[in-house]
Amino acid sequence: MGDEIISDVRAHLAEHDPDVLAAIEDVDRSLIQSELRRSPLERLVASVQQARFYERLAASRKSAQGGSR
Amino acid sequence: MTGQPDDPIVRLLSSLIEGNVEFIVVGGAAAVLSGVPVVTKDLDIVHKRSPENVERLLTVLSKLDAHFRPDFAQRKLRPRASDLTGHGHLNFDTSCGPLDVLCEISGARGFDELLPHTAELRDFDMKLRVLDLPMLIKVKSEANRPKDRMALPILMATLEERTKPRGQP
Repeated sequence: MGDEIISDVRAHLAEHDPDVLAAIEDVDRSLIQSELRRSPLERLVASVQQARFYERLAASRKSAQGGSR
Repeated sequence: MTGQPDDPIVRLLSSLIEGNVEFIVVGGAAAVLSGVPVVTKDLDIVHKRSPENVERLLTVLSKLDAHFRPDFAQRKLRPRASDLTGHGHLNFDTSCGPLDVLCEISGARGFDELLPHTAELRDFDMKLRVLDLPMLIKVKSEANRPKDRMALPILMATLEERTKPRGQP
């Protein structure tokens, strides 16, 4: 069932969005392989913690910019 | 459940599981659980909209102090059963962080339609039902928003890596 879905998506992209299809080859596979060595929950926790870090960083930059005005 | 990473998102998942809620993890969290190296900040789920399951979900949401977000007027509006039996997307803040409860996703797909396109993941004594990568890719390609188009290459590359025979470079 999955193969059929992906064939349809690939056919659609080939016709309507070839740049997206071409970009698949540019993805750094070592990042994916490194993720796949971790367990699913470890991946999830690492991902949300990274998101929270970016949010804190963005908030502190925003407040620093506000303070300098 | 023992030995699992200590993080609010894990506690959120544990609460849903311990409350016997039938749900499917979708969106960014499903991608990450499947090995896609992306950053996600919340948990998106599609729940079964049977009266019994909605009741169980409401109980868990109440324990998690869930209220609609954004909450500019700080009224802490709580979900009702009728909210959870509709077709919409409900965004909540909870004591364990943001939780998006989706009645349906793209193409009017609810729990029952998505169930054949899920994989069961077991990790740290936790059993999760997660939308599989092919359906996640299909949903993103149908959504066709810039952020979904940007995610497609890495989703498809991850699927290729996962299905590649071992030992193949």
